[in-house]
Amino acid sequence: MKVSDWSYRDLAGAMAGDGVFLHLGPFVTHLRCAIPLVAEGVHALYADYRCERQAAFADFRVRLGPPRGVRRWYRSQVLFYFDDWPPFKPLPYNQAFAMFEWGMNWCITSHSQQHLMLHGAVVEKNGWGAMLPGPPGSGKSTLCAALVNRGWRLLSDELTVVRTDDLLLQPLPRPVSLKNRSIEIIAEFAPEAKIGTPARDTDKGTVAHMKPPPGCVEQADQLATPAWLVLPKYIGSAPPVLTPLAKGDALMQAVDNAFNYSVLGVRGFDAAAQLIDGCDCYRFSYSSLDDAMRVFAELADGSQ
Amino acid sequence: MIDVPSRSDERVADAAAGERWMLVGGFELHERRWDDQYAVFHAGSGDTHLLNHTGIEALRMLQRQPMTIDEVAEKLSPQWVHGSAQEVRQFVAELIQAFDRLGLIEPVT
Repeated sequence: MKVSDWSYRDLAGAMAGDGVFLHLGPFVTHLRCAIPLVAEGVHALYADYRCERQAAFADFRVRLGPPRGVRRWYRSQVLFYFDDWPPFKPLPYNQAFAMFEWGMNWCITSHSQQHLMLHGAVVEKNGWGAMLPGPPGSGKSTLCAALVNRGWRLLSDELTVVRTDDLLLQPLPRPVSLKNRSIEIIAEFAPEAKIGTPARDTDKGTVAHMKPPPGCVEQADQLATPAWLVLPKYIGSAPPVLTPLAKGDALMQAVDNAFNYSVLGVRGFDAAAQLIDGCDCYRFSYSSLDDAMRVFAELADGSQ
Repeated sequence: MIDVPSRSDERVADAAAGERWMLVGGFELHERRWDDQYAVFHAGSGDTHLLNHTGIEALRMLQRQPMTIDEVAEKLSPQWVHGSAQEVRQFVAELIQAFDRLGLIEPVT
């Protein structure tokens, strides 16, 4: 049963009660939450995901709710609980759905050490994966959102998951996090994209999440072969420039953007080095999404 | 982040007096080469470093046996290090200092 098979009322009721089991790629999350903002976000942006009242196993047990004390009534806040333990400070109530998303990122990166995980978006075309690692502000999520609205398949906008045994890319499609101007840029670039309610005044400014395009979630079990590592950088008014990146430098960039590289030890080094071995590596600066789409189309058809 | 006293200058001064250096014991080096770039993973620190041919050649020497700066400078291939003997020695001293700062090598007592 998918989230879209639930009425909003049933989903919100189940989330507020015993909770629901949400299937996010290879992970199952048991989610309990009585906050309408979160139920609305899940109902709208996770519509294509499998969701059940019962499951044999959950990787993560998550709950969102108000902290104890007077904050419950005065300038309401929300806490993210993992196994009934709140790992983060509370956030304003209007940021509850964003907190769910950020908390899920933490769950996955903190508890899935069997894979090499890089901070970066990853998309796929014809079975080949393009990894877009980069720090916040590099424009990777905006570029990722644009690509997946032009025929590339979303594997993830935040977490590039590399299986260390076969070096294939494990899809983990979830809503794409857009910030500040990116929200209106993508709304204009892809009017058909479904973007959730913005959360304003977060530490990252205004944040809104874009629903993964149709098909991405259904194909979440189809692995991709890494083919390109592209370091994107948005530079206002700049022409699109794709510059080859030396593999040693590419490795260091991958390592710098890895969540669990040091945890994996030499296995992480071997995986990262083999990953880079198999990829064409580039720096890419751009200002126009249309230009970027053309460059990536050329990458995909081999003319770059 | 905490402040720690710098030790590199003192170490290099010691090195000038003929101190021998070697790879920090008990840990393997894992290498990967792409053209003139060598990625090195140091299992002891969990850190990865990017070296050129000269750097990796010097590090391999210090992995095989303890050596002084002068000994490393003498053995480094002239193909990779150009300059007068004094310039090469200065280059190797700085390399040793950088390796020390990265925790890759230690003085032999």
